[in-house]
Amino acid sequence: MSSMYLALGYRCNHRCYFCPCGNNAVKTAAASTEDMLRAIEQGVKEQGVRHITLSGGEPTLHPDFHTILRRCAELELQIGLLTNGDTFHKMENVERFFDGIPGQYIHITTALHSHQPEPHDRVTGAPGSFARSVQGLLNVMSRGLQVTVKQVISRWNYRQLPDFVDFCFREFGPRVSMTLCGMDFCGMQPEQISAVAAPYSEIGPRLEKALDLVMSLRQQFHAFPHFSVADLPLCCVDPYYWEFFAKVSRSTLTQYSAPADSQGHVKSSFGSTNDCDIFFEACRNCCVAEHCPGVWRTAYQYFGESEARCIRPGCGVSDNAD
Amino acid sequence: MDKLQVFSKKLGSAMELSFATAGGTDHIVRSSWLNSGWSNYSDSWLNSGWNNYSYSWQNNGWNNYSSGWVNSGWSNYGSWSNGGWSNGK
Repeated sequence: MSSMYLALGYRCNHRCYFCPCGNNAVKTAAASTEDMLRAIEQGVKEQGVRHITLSGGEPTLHPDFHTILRRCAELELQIGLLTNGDTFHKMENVERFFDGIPGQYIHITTALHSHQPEPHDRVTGAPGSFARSVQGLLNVMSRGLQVTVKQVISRWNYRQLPDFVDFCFREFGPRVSMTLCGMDFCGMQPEQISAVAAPYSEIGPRLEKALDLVMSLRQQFHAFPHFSVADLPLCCVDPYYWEFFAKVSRSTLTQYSAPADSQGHVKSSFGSTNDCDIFFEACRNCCVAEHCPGVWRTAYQYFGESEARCIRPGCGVSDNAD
Repeated sequence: MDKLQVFSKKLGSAMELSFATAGGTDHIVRSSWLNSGWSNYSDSWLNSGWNNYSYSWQNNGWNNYSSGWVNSGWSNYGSWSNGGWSNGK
């Protein structure tokens, strides 16, 4: 299935520590709404695009957000909306954004950086953002929209992964979906990376405890219809937990991105592949390399070869990467 | 569907895995017998029986959280399940 990714400009109401968008807002103009709509229609007509991701910056800040969303729904695209959920804390915004758009076309993904307000707000640089985003998610869920709560795992939050899972279950109920992701260090300075990077060997045990909780909640309450781990290597956890790891197929990703340059044109990037792959030497002989989500290239470049383990059939994770 | 056996330290035994692709995403399916043993989270003992996640037979055993005995019976996630006797909420 061909998919499309469209960033509606880089303007954002948050200034997340590890997001490059804040630095690009004043440098790059957004493509015109007409150009973006044309690109969407062209993608559907010529590339068979069936799924589109709307992102930013913060996509709901775009003045023509509803117009673009409505056109995607008219084209019967499955729409993934990457948003910080902040603007949804006002119900009138939810009504305005999604007026006349069938909910089955939309899936909202929002990142929460902690289960507590202060650490989350510290990451976003926006005081009160945790409360607004949580309320925003509750508002869209009350309207029947599907929601995935996402957390990008960092040194600042990996120790509290089980608490985060527990929080999401209690706050959003058993029908919320979740995804836990490895971090892409794209655009970050070395000192920034050092502050947030957590080795996979440290993340793994905490992630296992979080997944134990997920399985327990599933057994008792049929919680988390969809729960996935992405952008982390299989070898960071015991094979017992591998069923949670999701790897998006690297083929047939047709990508449009906007804005592409200072002229604000929509650029097509045919055949672009996700920069998340198996890079380690240990992966060469690993029996599950083909099915591994891999890691971000920037993470491999930062951590080096020591963070991966080779897995052989019938054996566990080897101690030596070879 | 490919199959592979790997050793799980958590289970202390080998486990069989299958690999499937759906909706452009690869999934790993675990096919094994599970005895979850004691679950501190719900302060109960759980015997999950055979679990090929989302289509399996499950006997959840005694569940202190709801103060009841729960036998989920056959659970193809979202389909028939017999919750058994429960004093729970």
